[in-house]
Amino acid sequence: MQEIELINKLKNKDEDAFKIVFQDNLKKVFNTCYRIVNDKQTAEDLTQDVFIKVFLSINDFREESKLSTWIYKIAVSKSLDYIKAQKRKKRFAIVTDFFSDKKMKDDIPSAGKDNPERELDNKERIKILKEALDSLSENQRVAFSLSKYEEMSYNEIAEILDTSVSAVESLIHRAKKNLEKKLYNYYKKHL
Amino acid sequence: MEKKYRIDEEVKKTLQLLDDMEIIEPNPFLLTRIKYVLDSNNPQPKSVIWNSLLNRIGILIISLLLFLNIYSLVSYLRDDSPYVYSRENYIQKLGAEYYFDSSENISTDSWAE
Repeated sequence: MQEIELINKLKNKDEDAFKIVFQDNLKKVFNTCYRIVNDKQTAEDLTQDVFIKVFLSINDFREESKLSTWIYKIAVSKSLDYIKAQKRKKRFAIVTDFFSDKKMKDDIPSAGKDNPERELDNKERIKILKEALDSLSENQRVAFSLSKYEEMSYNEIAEILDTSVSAVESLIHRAKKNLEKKLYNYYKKHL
Repeated sequence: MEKKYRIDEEVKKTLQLLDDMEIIEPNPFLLTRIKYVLDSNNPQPKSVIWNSLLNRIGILIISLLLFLNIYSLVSYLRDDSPYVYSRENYIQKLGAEYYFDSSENISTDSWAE
């Protein structure tokens, strides 16, 4: 089925068309959300919200880009909104913890803290890598994940993030550099 | 020097893991979940609501008319009240009331002249 036909059917609330759109985009939408929020349950909830929005707001789609690009744009926007809301909650939690005299939990594995000679295993390295990815700026993380894991072109990423292709190139370049730098600093401190 | 080498090695090994980051599969029942949410939250279009309302009002009006007709018919058939007048009864009653001779044949033909 051609995309225009699919969009028209979707606008007429055709369930089969929705099923096709869902199956074609589910994995990418879910993984995009997961790479941003880093939690499976939240990523599923966000994926659900994304497809509900696609179904209900398809008439707002102006067909200036590909349908999939519009869908990923919604996915990225919903995930970033979630992250922002979480940050607000965290800020509030820090204030309440300060007054309730609680200390923040530190989940990051301390590489070789007990035994500096011990070899790190890949599980630990992945955990460290995830933490480093999480500490990148939102735009850098999103651009890097979309390029690395969803194999999107710089053009597509630029459309999703509402920015220019050169800005995307710069974001991805800086993401790589920052990732290296953060890992280096981490190992320097903990090895 | 050895530490720097070790750090570089660790950074390299960790960055290589970027390709091995797990790909997580979403819940296979996600579509069912979405359909359920859409079915329970999706409001019907206004025209559907309006048509359904019109149908109901139509049925109500027809039922009401049918009921009134049946009720009138039954009441009429069961009515044995002494106050059922024929034309002659009415004329006699009017004659008594306005003091004229109701036995005369009243013709309205002359009124047109």
